[in-house]
Amino acid sequence: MQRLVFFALGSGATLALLLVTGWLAPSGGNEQADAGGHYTLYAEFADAGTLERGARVALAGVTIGEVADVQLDARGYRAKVRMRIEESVDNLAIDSVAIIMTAGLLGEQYVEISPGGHPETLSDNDYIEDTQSAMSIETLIRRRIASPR
Amino acid sequence: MNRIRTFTPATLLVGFIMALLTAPMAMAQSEEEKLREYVRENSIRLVDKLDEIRELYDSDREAFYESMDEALGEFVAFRRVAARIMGKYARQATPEERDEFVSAFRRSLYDAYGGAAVSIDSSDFDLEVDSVEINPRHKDRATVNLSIITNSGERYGVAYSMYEPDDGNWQVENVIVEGINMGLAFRDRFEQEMQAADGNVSKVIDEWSTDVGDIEGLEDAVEQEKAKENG
Repeated sequence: MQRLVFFALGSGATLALLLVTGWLAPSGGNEQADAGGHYTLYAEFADAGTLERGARVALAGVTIGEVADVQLDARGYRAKVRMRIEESVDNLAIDSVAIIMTAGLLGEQYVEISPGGHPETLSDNDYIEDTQSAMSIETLIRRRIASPR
Repeated sequence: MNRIRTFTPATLLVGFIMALLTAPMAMAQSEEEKLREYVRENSIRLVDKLDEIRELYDSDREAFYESMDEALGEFVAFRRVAARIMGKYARQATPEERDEFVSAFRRSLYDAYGGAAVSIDSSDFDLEVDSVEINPRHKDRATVNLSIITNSGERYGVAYSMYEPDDGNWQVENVIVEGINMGLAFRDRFEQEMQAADGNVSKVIDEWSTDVGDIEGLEDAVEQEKAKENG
């Protein structure tokens, strides 16, 4: 009986230690506003172009966050982009638009946020529902070639 | 020997759970079907209406606007569209200015339709509803994908972003043409005009009403299509 009590106490202490040190924190995407002063927003695009993890997220040309990852939503055949936004930018309206832009003619791609005017604001883990996908030259040429003369 | 099929309580329970699980799917499907039909009917009604009232655009502009209101008033969420176009400036505008912009945008859209109706005939193109997707996160929002097919076989992809108010039918709140977000394009234009007007919202709204949407490109495209068909 005494051994059972020691075992239970030991297990409890180990569990508490693991929780405190973060070893048992959920793996994968960080769904909470993190300790680094960021919160998470998502956006889905029909075409993410060459957008990559680490690409900047900007508003009025000023960096306000970064792309945490770009994944394929296999069911909807859309690119799901997770963004870490600085916590100080806490007044983005729910009708804001996420746009994939290109820096320069052949530059890297990034996400520009066009702020909306709705009184409600986006919060942690919300989706920016209105988006503008990347427009590639290849797509435009393909459409031109496919159209009948 | 006839075999009598018996259902044990366990089988019935499994069946019940399956029915519960599949019921929302069936409901979602019927909701999407209803929306598909609703968009198709409204699109046809709008095209027919434009055919019917095209003469009014030059002869009686106010009567043309009234007829357009009848055709589009319930189908387009003008207040939401206008707020989307104003973007961040909607927050600094007064309620009166926002109301004025709703009217100004509505009228500029009707003018664009009127100008197009003069040169485009409903027999020049066909319209198909390809797919409907209810937003899995917001049941009151949906995307409807359509195709506009010209007589020469050219196909243009159009997507309606739709919103269902608590007290009414689904309404269009944005349009994406061939991947171009039109709400965003208008927002860019509003932004440009705000910069040109040194941030004077009232001035931009006043000038918006007289600044008819640019349909010259569209008219040229239709004329080229017709010229191709006529050899």
